[in-house]
Formats: sequence, structure tokens, C-alpha cells
Amino acid sequence: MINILSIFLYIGSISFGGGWAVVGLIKEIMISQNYLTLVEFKEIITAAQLTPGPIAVNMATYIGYKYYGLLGALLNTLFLLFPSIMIVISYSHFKNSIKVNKIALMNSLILGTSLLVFITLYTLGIEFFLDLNIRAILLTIMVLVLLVKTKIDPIFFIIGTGLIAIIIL
Amino acid sequence: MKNVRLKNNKILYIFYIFIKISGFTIGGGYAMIPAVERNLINKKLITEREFFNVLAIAQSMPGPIAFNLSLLVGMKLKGFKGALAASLGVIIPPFIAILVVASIIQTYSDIIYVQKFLDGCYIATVSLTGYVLYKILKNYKFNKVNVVLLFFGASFLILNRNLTILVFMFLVLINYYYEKRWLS
Repeated sequence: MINILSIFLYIGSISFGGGWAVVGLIKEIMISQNYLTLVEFKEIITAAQLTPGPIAVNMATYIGYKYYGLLGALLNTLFLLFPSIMIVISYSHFKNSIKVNKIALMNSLILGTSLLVFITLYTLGIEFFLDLNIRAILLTIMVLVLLVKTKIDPIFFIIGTGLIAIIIL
Repeated sequence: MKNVRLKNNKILYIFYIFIKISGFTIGGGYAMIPAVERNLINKKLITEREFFNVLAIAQSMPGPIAFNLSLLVGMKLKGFKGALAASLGVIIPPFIAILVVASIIQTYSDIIYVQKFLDGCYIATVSLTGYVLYKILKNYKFNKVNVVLLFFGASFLILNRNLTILVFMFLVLINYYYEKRWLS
């Protein structure tokens, strides 16, 4: 349990730029340390998508619950969020003594975030290409184009793609 | 006495607003920001200027943006108690929802149709990640150094993903000092 908690404490302290940046990292760590299989990871990411709330928090809750029940869910969520809480508290103490160039910092963090999101995309999508799963690749591209071209709420795409997959995969 | 009651009411009100925002926004942090904006600015709890200031800070901290935002806004409105109320409001609805969904999925995950449904949702997740990336890159004003850093960072991480966070920090620092020194 300590190990899972420390993984999520670590993830919480480095998840700059929101959940999407760390989803790839969660997959990487949890699968390589044999906490989850790929199928279980798919369950978790789907559950996180279908429920309200930040995706990284949802994943932490789910994984904690899966291994150690309600207490695990509670602790794992808290550990993920702990770094944010500490930083907000220290920020309100030090906000007048920190001098940074805000624009340069924001630009750099967004750039770094785009790198992390790219790696998440790579980590999540690479298996379709390795398996040469043509249907999955085409479906991915189709949904991506629709997401860019329309303003439909993403939740409908998630459920819709799930339903389409029952028929064609 | 009256004052105390007013104070408690305000804390409950913050809690209620953030429960509402969190419980009805599916799709993660970025989807939540407009909802926070609508609820807080329209109800005149904070001004637009204050909101974007807080948003910038929330984005430059680690952790989920929506959660950071709730902590900072709560803190601004009512100090530590406000931060506690707002962040609990953000966390409770997804926490309950995920417990319900988790037990449903675990019960039915052996059925082949459920498996295929999950595969489909996973595909949509890959597309959604692509979409998030597209939106970040579209709105970003690149200079040559950004492009070079991003290219080398990405190529390096494709070969070796164990160093993700080091590469991330390295990239952010180099870019920060470059922009601070040469562009401002």
C-alpha cells in the first residue's frame, strides 16, 4: 500500500498542466510495476472518463479502491492532492517574496505540458500501431477529426465510440 | 451571533457552488474551467481579472487544475476554511461517482461486449488526448527555441521514457531562462 501511495504522491507533485500530462505516466508506472494489466488500465481510464472530476484524481480513487477498498480510495486521492495543498498554503505565505517573470514561466510550463501530453498520446496510442490494428487506428483518427471539427461534448464521443466498438471490433 | 451565521453560510455556499461545478462537468479539468468562470464571475464572487490571475497560478502549480483553482479561489474568498470547503466540494462528487462506476465495471468486465465497449472508450481517449495536444499547440506562439526544445524532448522521451520528469523540468528551465533573458 505504501508503494502505491508513494507513486501517487510522486505523480501529484509532478502533474503540471493537468491530468492529461500524467495519464501516460500512470500507465507506464502501474503497468511496468505489475499493478495493472492493460485491460485493467482500460477499465480505469474509461471509468475516469465517464465520471465527473479531474482524470488523475479519478484514476487515483479507482486504483486505491481496487486494491484496498474505501480506505485505499480515500488515502490514494489524498496523497495525489497533497502536493497541491502544500503548495497553495506555502504560496499564500510567500506570494510577496517570490519574483518570477510570469509570462516566461507560463510559456515554459505550457511548452513542457505539451511535451507531456504528447508522451501520453504516444504511450496510449502506440499499441494500435504496433499491433497494426487498422480499425482502431482509423477510428482514432475519425474521432479526432470530429473532435476538432465539431463542438459536441467529448462525453458523447466516448460513449459513442464505445458503442461503435461493440459492432465493429 | 448574526455575523457568525453569515460566515458559516458563506462557507456552505462556496461548498455548494463547487459541488455543483464538479458534479456536472464530465471530462476533466479543462472542461471545468468555463463552469467555474460562469458560476463565480456571474455571481460576482470574484472579478474577471482576479479569476484569470488565479487561473494562471493554478496552471503553473502541479496537480489537477480544477482542484488547484478551487483551493485558490476558496482561499481568496474565505481563507483556509474557504479553501477547505471549495476543495471538498470539488472532490466529493467524483469520488462517489468513481466508487459506483468502479464496482459496476468490476462486476461486468468479463462480458465480451463490455470488453469491446471499454476498447472503444479507450480509442476515444486516445483521440481526446490528441485533441488536447492540438488545442495546446494551436494556441501557442512558437519561437525557434521552443520548437527545437520540443523536438529534442519528444524524440528523447520516445527512446527512453524513464526520464520523463527530468526532461520536462530541463525543458521548462531552459525555456524559462531563454525567454526571460532574450525576449523580455
